[in-house]
Amino acid sequence: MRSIKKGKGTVALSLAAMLAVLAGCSGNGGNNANAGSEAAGTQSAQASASATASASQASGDPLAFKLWLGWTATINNDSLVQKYWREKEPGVDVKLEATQGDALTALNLNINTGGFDDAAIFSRNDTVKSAMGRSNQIQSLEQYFDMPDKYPGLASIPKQYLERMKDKDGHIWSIPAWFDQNPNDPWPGWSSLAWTVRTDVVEKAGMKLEDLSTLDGVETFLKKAAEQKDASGKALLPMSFLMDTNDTAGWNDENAILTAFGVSTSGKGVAKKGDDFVFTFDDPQYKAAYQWMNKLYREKLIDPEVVTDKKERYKEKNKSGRVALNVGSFFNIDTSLWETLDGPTEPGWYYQVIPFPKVPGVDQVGTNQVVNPYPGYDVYISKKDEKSRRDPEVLRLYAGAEAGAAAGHQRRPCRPLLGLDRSTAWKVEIHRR
Amino acid sequence: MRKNSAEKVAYGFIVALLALLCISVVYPFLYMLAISLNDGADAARGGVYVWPRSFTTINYEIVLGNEVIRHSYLITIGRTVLGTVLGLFVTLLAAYGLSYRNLPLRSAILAYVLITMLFNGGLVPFYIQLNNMHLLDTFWVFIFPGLFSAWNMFVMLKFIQGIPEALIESAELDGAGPLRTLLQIVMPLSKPMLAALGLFTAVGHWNDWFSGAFYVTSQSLIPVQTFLQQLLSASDLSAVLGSNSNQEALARSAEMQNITLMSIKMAVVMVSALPILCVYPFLQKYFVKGVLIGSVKG
Repeated sequence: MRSIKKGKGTVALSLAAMLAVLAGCSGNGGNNANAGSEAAGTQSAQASASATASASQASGDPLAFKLWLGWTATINNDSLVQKYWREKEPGVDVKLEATQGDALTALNLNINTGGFDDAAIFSRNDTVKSAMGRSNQIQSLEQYFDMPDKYPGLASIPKQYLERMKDKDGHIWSIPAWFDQNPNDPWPGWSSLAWTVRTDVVEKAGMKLEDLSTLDGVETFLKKAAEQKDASGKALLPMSFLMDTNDTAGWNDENAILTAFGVSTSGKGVAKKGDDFVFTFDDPQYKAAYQWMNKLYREKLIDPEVVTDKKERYKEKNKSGRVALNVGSFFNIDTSLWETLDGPTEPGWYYQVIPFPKVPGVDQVGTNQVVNPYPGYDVYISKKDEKSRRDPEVLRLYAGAEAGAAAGHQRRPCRPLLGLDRSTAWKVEIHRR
Repeated sequence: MRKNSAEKVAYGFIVALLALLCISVVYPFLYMLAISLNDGADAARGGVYVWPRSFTTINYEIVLGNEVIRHSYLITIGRTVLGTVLGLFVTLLAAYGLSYRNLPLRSAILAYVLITMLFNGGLVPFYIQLNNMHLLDTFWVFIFPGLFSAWNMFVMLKFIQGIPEALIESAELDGAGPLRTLLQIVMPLSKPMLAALGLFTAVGHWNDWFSGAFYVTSQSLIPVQTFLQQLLSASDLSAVLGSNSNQEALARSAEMQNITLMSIKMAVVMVSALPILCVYPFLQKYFVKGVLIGSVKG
């Protein structure tokens, strides 16, 4: 009996040890995860690591290139894009790596143990910049920005960005990323905050979109929408927006209403009106906007759960066609609502953006978005990296169309890739719609 | 013995308080279980508190079909088993050696070990050490640093000293060397203590997310808790759905439209917490014995 028990114990221990050794010696075979949380940034990192044909192609072996992402991401080094770069052109085997914890702690640890291989990309941050500078592990790059014949991509970066990056000795220690190619007129023409209405509900209410051009018109529409029923027989929610401060898009939906009332909500909360600087909270229209919202709430023309709903709940209501008018960021509505549609099979098909309604006494809509054209990311090149010394073009965006197409699937399609003109990315996104 | 009314009231109050405490501990798990077994879109409507309203196993299908999670599980199970077994063995060796009172420099060694338990160099020196030992971004970074535990060693030392010396002396008289005495006399008698310490060590390995976050960068080496941390900070389902081996089948399923990130997160929490919880009942008897065994000297 004891020997049977002993035998079983031995077998169990051997199996456990084998399992443990299997885990320990397993390689990258099962690594099939998708790029994760900072998806656009990760895509831009992938795009950033493309290279022109280099000496390594002559040997047939792909040039290995490691890019360290300064944020949490689920890495997939077998993506279609990386496979293409590795097997077809430009013959670069790009390996991404990311930290799963705090990026600054990971940077500190990395710097203390010899630094990173090849390149690292971080969002623009003074702490990162000074840590990289003090580490003496990165190479200066200013010479590469003035070689248009050899590196046209780097030379095309607007000089005013580069001037601000120079240290007192004139060195530039990183390649800027995520900037607007036109610093004087960035991101022309559109904002993500909008008033979005269901045209099928407008039609059933016997109104036209032009009728919603005034605040009174909007109120009339909301009252008529409240009388309609959705597919499950429940009364429609006339108006809704997302008030959850933890929403992923980061835009406050109420700003769309505030700006309709002429309050500027962008920047640091101060707007110039005439010769005066007015704080947002001191603007009488700020109070007027909330009085209007409160009035609608009391008349049940705003979803009563708007104050407590989380993002998923808000999206679920939009998807199931329960809301007639959405105010706020279209990213919060969730663009997948209409991106995947081929026809009028879902409520999302009927979403239509309308102009901000005219509010009595308001001459101009307030500013709700200020676009900072300056670079948002920096790519640092390690002194250890010989490849980039030969071909810093490895860090330039490869192709506008492919980069734009990659941007199209992201949660924030308007976020451009490295160096790509923001308006181009948007145009691609329009085309895909 | 019959209780008077005051005792009954006090007893009732204690029972009520403990019941409340129990509910406050158990309820979050119950809630997570209910959400994980409920249709995501239906759960988003609210009102699911204790029992799933619209039962479905699709969340678990997605989670368990995810290759990254499956591989993370392998890593976690591997490090838990190997780390616990080796850790206990190495620590036991040290404790047994130090249990010999006539060991030269015994006091100095014990003082040295105590100092390492009370003070440490911090994260950066430790990371430098791991780098110098070439353990970073390898599976063994989960095992080697935890092989010796000063605290466990002191507990083991006290326990071994509690074993009657006569037993060890008689083994030595019969010709057993120190190793044989350890394996055939000391270890069998130390089962309760080893089970208790093993449980704590195993739970520590199972729940550890920090080493997976900072000491490894390869996706193939992250343990399940680090992946859970990734997922809990994710804003959409791409971190999970993209790596599913059965995503084609899932895409065709009508249930996919009702998946939400919240329900997937709850399913991952359940999948990562339940296995270690299930280990506790099997070690319960050893745990209780281990706590009490040194308390009464015969």
